[in-house]
Amino acid sequence: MARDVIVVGAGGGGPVLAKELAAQGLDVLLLEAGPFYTKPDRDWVHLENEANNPLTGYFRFGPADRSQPAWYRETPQNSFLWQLAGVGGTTLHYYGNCPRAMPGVFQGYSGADASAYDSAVFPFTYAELVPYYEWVEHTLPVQTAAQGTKEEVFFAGAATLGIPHNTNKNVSVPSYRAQENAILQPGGTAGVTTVAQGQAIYPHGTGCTFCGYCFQGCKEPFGAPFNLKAKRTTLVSYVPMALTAGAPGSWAPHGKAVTLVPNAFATKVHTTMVQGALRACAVTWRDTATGQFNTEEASVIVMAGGTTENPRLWLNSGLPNPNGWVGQGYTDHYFDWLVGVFANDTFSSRGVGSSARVDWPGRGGLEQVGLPPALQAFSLMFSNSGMRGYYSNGAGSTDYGGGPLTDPSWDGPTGRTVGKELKSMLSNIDKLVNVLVITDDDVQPENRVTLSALNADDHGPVAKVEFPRGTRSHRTVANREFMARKAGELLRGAGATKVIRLDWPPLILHVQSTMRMGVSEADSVLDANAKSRWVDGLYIADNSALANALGGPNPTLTCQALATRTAERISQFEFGGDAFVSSGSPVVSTDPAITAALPPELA
Amino acid sequence: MSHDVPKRFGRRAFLVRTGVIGAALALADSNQFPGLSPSASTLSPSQLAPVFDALASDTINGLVAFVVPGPDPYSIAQGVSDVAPGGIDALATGFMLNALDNFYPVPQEPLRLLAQSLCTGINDNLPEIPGLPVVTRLAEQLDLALGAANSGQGTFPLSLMVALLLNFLATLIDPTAVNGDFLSPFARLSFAQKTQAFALLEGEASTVAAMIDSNLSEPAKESLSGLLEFLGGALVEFAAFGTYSEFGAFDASTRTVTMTPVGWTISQYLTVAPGRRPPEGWDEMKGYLGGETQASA
Repeated sequence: MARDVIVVGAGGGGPVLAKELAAQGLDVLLLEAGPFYTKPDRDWVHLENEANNPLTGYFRFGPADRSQPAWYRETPQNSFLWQLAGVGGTTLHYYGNCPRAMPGVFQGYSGADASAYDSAVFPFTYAELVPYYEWVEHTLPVQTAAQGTKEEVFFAGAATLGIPHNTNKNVSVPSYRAQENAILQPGGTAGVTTVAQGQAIYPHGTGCTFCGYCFQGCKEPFGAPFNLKAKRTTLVSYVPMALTAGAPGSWAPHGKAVTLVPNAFATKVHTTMVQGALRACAVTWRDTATGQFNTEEASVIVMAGGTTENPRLWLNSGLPNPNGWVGQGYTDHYFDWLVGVFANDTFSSRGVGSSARVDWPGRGGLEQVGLPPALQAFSLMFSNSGMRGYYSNGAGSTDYGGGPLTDPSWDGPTGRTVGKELKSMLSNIDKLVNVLVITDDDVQPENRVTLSALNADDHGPVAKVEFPRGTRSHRTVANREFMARKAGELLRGAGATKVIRLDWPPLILHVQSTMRMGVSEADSVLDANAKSRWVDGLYIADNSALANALGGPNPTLTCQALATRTAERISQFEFGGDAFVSSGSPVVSTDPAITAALPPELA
Repeated sequence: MSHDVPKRFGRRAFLVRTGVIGAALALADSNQFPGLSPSASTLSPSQLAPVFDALASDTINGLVAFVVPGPDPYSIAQGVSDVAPGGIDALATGFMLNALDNFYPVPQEPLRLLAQSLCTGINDNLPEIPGLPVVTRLAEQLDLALGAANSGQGTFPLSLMVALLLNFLATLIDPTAVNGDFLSPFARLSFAQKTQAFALLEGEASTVAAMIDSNLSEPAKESLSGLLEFLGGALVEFAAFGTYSEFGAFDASTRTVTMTPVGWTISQYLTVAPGRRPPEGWDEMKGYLGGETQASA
C-alpha cells in the first residue's frame, strides 16, 4: 500500500517536515542512510577521535558498522567536507546556533542596503517566513545563550568595534549579541558545578552543563530523558515528536506516528507520467547492513538528504535538469578562521561551542568558537595559503583571488602553523579564542556538485564537490576580507597578545543552495513552494532548497522554518489540509506528554 | 623497441626516488628481509610487503615529526625538535597508517591511476640522481612485484601511495635524499625542505601530476591533480588531529583512556585518570550578556 509521503533523509530538515505532516494525520515514511542513536548516555563519549574522526568516528558519513570504511566523496581541491549520516544529521554535531536569515536576502527587501546582498534572493518576503521561524523557535526551543569566560572575552573585543548590543532576533544593523541557540539554558546545578564523568546531573541540573562537547554529541545533562537533552538536535526534538504523533494522550491527538527506517540509503527516485506530466511515485533504498534493495510508493516524495547528496540522488535517478542548476550554486559561507592568544584564561575548551556572534548585514558575521585540542589542532593546520613563513600558494597575488597575506589586523602572513609554532599556539588551549569568519557569499554556478566520473560505490556514482580556486565573486572576496579584518580587530580589542589568520580553504560545513528555490526559472530548481519545477509531487526540505547563503547566518533554523512552510504547502496542496501554522499553536518538544510517550527504545 | 631502455631506466629511477630500493637494500643488509637477494629470481607480493610496510611507516614518521616535532630521532634529523613530546610520542604514525589503509575510502580507480602513474610514467626530464645504485636485478624484481600489484594481482595500500609520493617529492627537492639515515627520502629532509615538498604538492599539483606522468589524458590528469591537492592539505591536517586526540591512549574495550593522552598534556587540556573520560560539566557559567535572558522578536 502506498504511503502518503516518503521523506529521504532524517537530518536537520527531514524530521521537521515529517513531524508536521505526521501531526496532520498523514502516513509518513522517513528514511535515513545512517544509524539511529537511541542511547546517547551510553554511546557518545567526550573523546574527539572516537566521535569526530571523519573516517572512523561515530559521527561520520558512513555506514553504522564502523569496521567498514566511510563513504567516499570526490573533493578535487584542498578542502574538507564535514558531512554526517545518522538520524539527526549534522544537527548531531552542530552548536545549535539559530540566527534568523538577513532580511536583505528575500524578495521585496527595500532597505537602504538592498544592493549589498546577493541578487539571488528568496522568492518570497522575509515577513512571510517570520511565523515559521516563530513556530520552529518555540518547538525546539531556541533560547538566548548563557555566557562563559570565552564569551566575555569575545564581547569585550566586539564592544571595541563601535557596534551596539542587539537584543532582538531580527538584525538590521551591524551589532553583537549572545547567540540564539537551540540549547536549553542551564538550570539548577548545571553550569555552576563541575561534574565527573558518568555522574548523573538530572534532575538537580537541567539544560546545558557547559561540558564543551557539542561537536561530540550532546548527552547532557547525563541521565535526562531522551527529549530533554540540552542541545536540540532533531534527534531529541523533532524525531521524538514524529514518533509519538497520535499516541494516547499525544501532543498531536489526530496525528499518525512516522515510520522511521535508519540505515536506508536512497538510490533512486522513481517517476511516472500522470495526465501528461512527470510525477514522483516511489523511492528505492539500500539497507546498508544487509545490502538488500527495497522500494516503496508514495503520493509525495520529499528529498532531504543534504546539500551534497540531494544532487547526487537526483542525477543518479535520471531526473530532469533542463537548466543545469541541479547541484550548482553551492554556498558555504567561504569561512575563514582567526585565533587569538591571550595572557589570561579564556577556558576556550569549556562551555557551548559557540554562544557569541557579530552580525554585519551585507557582509556576513563572526562567531566565537571553542574546541577541544584535536579539532583545535586541525583548525590551525587548515589553510589555503601554505605554511606560515615558508610558502603561500600564491596568497596575496591578484591571480589567487583572495586577500592579502599580511595586514595590521593579524600578525605575520596568513597560513597554517606547523611544527613548533603549532605547539606554541596550542601550548595552553584555554588561553585561546577562535573567531569564525562567516562570509555572505554569492550563489555561483562554478561551485557545485556533479557525479564523479571515476568513483562509484554501492549507491551509485558518488558526489564530486567542486569549489574551484580563484573563482569567488568580487563581492564574496571583499566580504570575507572585510569580516576577517573585523575579526582581527575584535581579538586585538579583547587584548590578544598574538593574532593569526589561517585563510581556510573550503570547510564545507554550512552548506546551502545546491537545489535552490528562486525567482527565475532560469537559475533555480525549485519554485516558491520548494516543489521541483519539473517533477510533480517532488519537494525538497533541507539546506539545499535555500535560495542563497542567507547573508551569513547559520542555515539550520531557516532550513527548519522553510521545511515547516513546505510541510504546510504539501498538506494544503497535495492533501487538502489546513494552513496549520496560521491556525494552530506549536507544542514545545520538551513537553512532558512527549517524554511520557517515548517508544521503548528511547525511554 | 627504442623506448625500452629509457623506460626501464625511468622505472628504476622511480624505485630509487620513492625509497623502495633503498628500503629493500637496508632491510636486506639488516637481515630483516631474508627472502631478498640480488640473485633471487622472483619476488611475491607477500615477500615485498615488509619492504612496503617499513617504507610507509618510516615516511609517515617523517611526516608526523614535521607537523608536531618532539624529542624523537626524526625530529632531531630534520633540525627542528622539542623537549616536549610530539607526534611520534602520541603514536600519530599508527593513527595515520590505520586511517589511510583501513578507512580512507579512496576507490580503486584513482588509486590505480596514481599507482600506474608513479610506476610507469616517470618523466625523463627530472633532475639527475647522483650515485643511482646499480642493482639492476633487484630493481627488476621490485618493479615486477609493483607491476603485479598494479595490474590487480595485489593491492596498493594508500599509505604506500602516500609514502611513494612524499619520497618522490623529496628527491625533487634534494636529490641526495636517496641516501642516508632512515628508509625514507622524505624523512631525511630538513624541516624547511619538507615545507618545500608540501609547497610542490599543494601549490603545483597539476605540475607534479605531469612530472609523474606526462602522458595522462586530461580527465585523468584533473582527477589525479585534484587528489594530490587534497592530500597536500589532508596529510598535515590529519597528523595534527591524530597527535592532539586521544588515539594513542585509547582503550577500545572500555572506550576510555589508559593515561592522559600526549596531545592533552602538551596543550594543557585535561588530566584524566586511567579508565576515565572527561567530565560531564564545568562550573563555567558567568550569566547572560547584559542580563538579557530572552531576545525580543
